[in-house]
Amino acid sequence: MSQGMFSRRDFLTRSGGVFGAAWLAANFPAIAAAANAAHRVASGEVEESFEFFPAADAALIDAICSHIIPSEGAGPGAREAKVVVFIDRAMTGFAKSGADEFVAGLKGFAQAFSDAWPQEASFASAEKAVQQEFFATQVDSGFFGFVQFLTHVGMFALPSYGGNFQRKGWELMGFEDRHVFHPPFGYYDRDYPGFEAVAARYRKES
Amino acid sequence: MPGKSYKTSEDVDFVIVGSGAAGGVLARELSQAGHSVVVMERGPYLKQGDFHHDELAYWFANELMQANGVPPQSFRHSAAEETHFDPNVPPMLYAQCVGGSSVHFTANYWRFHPVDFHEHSVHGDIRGAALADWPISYEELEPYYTQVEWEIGVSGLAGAHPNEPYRSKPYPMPPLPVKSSGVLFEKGAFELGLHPFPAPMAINSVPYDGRAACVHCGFCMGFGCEMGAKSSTLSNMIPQAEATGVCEIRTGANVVRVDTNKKGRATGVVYYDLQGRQHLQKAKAVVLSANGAETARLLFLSANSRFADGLANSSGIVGRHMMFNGGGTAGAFFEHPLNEYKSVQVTRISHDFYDTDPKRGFYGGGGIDGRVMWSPIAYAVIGGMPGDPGWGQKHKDYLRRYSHFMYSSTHSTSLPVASNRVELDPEHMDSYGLPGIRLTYTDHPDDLATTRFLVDRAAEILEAAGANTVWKDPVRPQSFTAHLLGTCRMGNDPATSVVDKFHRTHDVPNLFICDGSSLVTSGRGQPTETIQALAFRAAEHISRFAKNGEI
Repeated sequence: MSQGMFSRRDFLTRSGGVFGAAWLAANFPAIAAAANAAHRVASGEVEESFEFFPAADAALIDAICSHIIPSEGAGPGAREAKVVVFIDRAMTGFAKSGADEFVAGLKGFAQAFSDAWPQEASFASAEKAVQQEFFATQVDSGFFGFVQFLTHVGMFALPSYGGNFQRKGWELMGFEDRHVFHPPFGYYDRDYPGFEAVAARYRKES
Repeated sequence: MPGKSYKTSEDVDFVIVGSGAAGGVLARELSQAGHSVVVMERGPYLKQGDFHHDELAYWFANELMQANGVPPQSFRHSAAEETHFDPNVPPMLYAQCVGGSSVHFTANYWRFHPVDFHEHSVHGDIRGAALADWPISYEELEPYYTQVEWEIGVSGLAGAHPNEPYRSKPYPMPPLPVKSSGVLFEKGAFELGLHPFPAPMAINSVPYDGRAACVHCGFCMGFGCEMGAKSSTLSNMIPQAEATGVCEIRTGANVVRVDTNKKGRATGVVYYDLQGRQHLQKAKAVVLSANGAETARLLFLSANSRFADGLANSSGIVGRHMMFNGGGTAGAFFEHPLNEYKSVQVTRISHDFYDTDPKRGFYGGGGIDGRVMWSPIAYAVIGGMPGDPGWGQKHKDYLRRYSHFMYSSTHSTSLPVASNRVELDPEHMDSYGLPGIRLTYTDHPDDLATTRFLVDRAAEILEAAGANTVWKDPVRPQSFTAHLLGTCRMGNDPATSVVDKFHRTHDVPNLFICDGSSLVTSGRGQPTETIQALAFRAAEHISRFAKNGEI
């Protein structure tokens, strides 16, 4: 067994919870069923609107996701991939049973920000530097684990799940969405002379 | 054309429990030999067109591992530890569909080496382990390895490394095209004076045996192959068995007991169908190929007045000596894109550290490969690079380096330890009220030492290949596996083994077991080719026994 597979188990175990991967496994049929509706929004087929979150909450989630995968720097971030739409649809569809807990976590996040920065109207409207400083204090919370997981799923899962808008997540990674590839696959296997030639060269050198 | 269908009251020659790597081979071989066969499979009969590239479904929602009647699994490291149970995170991964885990495996096909079969003779007793020799040798199994490579379909290059065991024929297909991870692994290994070589893979590099060649889509590990290029028993053995006209693949059949009579002989298997109705499929002989966990569970569930501790368990070792294989990883980033998400997992490996070297101070050895590991979500949420905070600009930079990333993985020995075992779970029941499986496992200290040693070598190879960044993932006690080996091991002595050298149980003359449970030692981490070689060999002997009236 590979260590990577152990890591997968560790992850699945660690992320057990309302929106963790173990929960996801148990509720997957509902997730798949809900995906199409979310995809219609994410693909632009229908106008984007939030079904579950009030605009202020959606802005907060969008801001949080944008700290997990920022828009700044090269490549798209969570905002460009419309991860918030994925999470919104999750709350009205397959994640309905856990929505209260998510909302409570979101409120807790907002309240903690208000306590720490009473002069700011909201986390979403605060200066980036302020957001950054506060966000760093929240990354050990259970809510952060939930939203971090959903951000990555919304960013990199098949667009049919409602996120990964216009394949922006895969664009960030340099992942080509194709079914068939031909060699060379990458930089280092270009002009490969063949195993026998390489082996013969090393045998000669030694 | 509808397949063959037997009545449960028909006393078929063989009922085989499990249609995976071993069960599929046995089904084809026994049916081609003219025997009537019913294969019991709990999962559905998926076809190539049913498979898709959905990482979320396969990797995170266990899509291929769910079926009616799957027993719950719990885990603990030792009897002193509290048992951990999460119904959605099983500690043992195996697919629930026709073809079993040969559908979602990675398809690394390594032959065992001759030393794997007689390591007790070489090294003697090892403290805390029950190391034993096999009752057969590599030389006896070699023709069946060749049969696997030609009839299952394996790509590779014979004679490419100096410690390759004897082979009677080359591979039927050339190696798969090298990837950047393979070129870099090869470079690093050669620079260090090692002997890397093309990885043997049970994936078609060219069209073969009526199946398509790999199109390098990259969705192998954990996925079914919609091209049929992966050499699962779903793609070859099962349809060939059905084509005989005497083999029925019965899906949705959850076998819960081997039925026996007063004479102590098996009379068939009891199973539930998808409607929850119980049936008894009668058979002249029963073959268990349900994997190293489920086969042992079936024997426990089949306890009777003669075998109170489980059918065919007079030795008391059914379920014991579970071996996971050791495994570790070193990761690296390189300057230019590798694009490892394309094509198969592995194209180059090294067996330079295969043998135990007494100078290291511990038993064990293994192989090292260069590979991709993660699809996009897994890379993002599981990752591997130390220091990645999981959020922010630094995390984004990590995500952007996905195409520049590769792993070198190690695959190694696990010693057979009696306390590493599967048994009936006293707490967690399946949907029929029957006990699930409790797995107890702690790596032998030599196994962890072997993994640490190999991870150090893997990191050296990546350094020598010119990586920008190299790291070693921590080596920790295992709590999770897809390799289920050794729980009904073969041997000549009924007091210390469950099946004889022909896979017949010592206790029940018409009950045979052939799957990962039969292995006496673990090999070096890629056991499927050996399991299938054993299955080809077992089928030959079992068929002979049947024809000679010796069952």
